[in-house]
Amino acid sequence: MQIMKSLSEIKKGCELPEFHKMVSQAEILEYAIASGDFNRIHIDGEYARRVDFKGTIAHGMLLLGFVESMHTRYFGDLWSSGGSLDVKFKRPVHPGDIINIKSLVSSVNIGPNDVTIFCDVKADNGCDTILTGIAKLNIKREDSPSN
Amino acid sequence: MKTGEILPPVELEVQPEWLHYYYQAVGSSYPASNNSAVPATAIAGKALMELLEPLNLPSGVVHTQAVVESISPANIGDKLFCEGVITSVVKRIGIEAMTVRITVKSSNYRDLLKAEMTFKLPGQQAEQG
Repeated sequence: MQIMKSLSEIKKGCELPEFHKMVSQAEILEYAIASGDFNRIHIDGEYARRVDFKGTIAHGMLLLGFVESMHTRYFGDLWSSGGSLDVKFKRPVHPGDIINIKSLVSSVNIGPNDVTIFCDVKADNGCDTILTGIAKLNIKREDSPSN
Repeated sequence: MKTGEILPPVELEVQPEWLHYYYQAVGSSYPASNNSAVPATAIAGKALMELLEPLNLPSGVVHTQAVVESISPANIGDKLFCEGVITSVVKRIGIEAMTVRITVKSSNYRDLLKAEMTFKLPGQQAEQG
C-alpha cells in the first residue's frame, strides 16, 4: 500500500514514517538463503568473534532491503522505476539489535518533465549510527500521481 | 582481481523460491504476487553473489558502501542478464577494498537496475556490515 497520496504533500523537511525493527539471526539466515551469501561472518558466531565482531552480523544488503522497503511503502510503485539508494554502512548490526531508520526530505527539484525528491537517510541501533546515505526518487511527469 | 576486470556475465531467473526468503528476511510488507515489482535490492544482492562467485572471496569480507538504482521493475519469473566489472581495487597499509559495478538487464537487454558495491577485504580490523 502506498502512503503518499500526491506529490504536492512532499516538501523539504517532510519525514517519512520511521522504520523500526529488531534484527534476528533467523532473518539473517533467510537473507543468506535468498542471496546465496553464506559468508561465515553472517552465520557462524564463533568465526565472527575471531575476526573482531561481537558475533554474527547482518548483511549490508539486508539493511539496504529495510531502507528500500521503507521507501517503497511510502512512494509505492514509483520507487521501482526511479528510486535509488546510496548508503555507507557505518557499524555492524548484530542479531537482537533494534534498528531505527529515518528518512527526511532534503529537497524537491521540479523540472519541466520530471520531479526529483532527495531524502537524507540515517539509521541507528539506539546508540550508534549504523548507516547514512541518500535516497533519491525521480518521477517522470507521466508517472506522477495527481499533483 | 584488478581494476577493470570484467566478471563473467550470469543469467538469473527471478524465482519465487529465493524471493520468498528475501521477503521473509526483510519483512512481510511486500505483496509477493507475480505482478508485483520485485525489490531492486533483492535482485542486486542475488546478482552480486552470482557475479562474485568466480572470485572466491574469503569469508570475512564486509560491505562498506552500496548504491542501487532502480530503472525499471522486474517481476517474478523474469530472466535477467547480469554484468559486472571491478571498478576499483585499493590496497594501502592495513586496508584493502574493492568496488564492483553491476548492471542487470531484462531478457530484451533493457536496463533494469545498476548498482555499485564496495567491500573491505579481510586481513585488517573489520568494522562494518
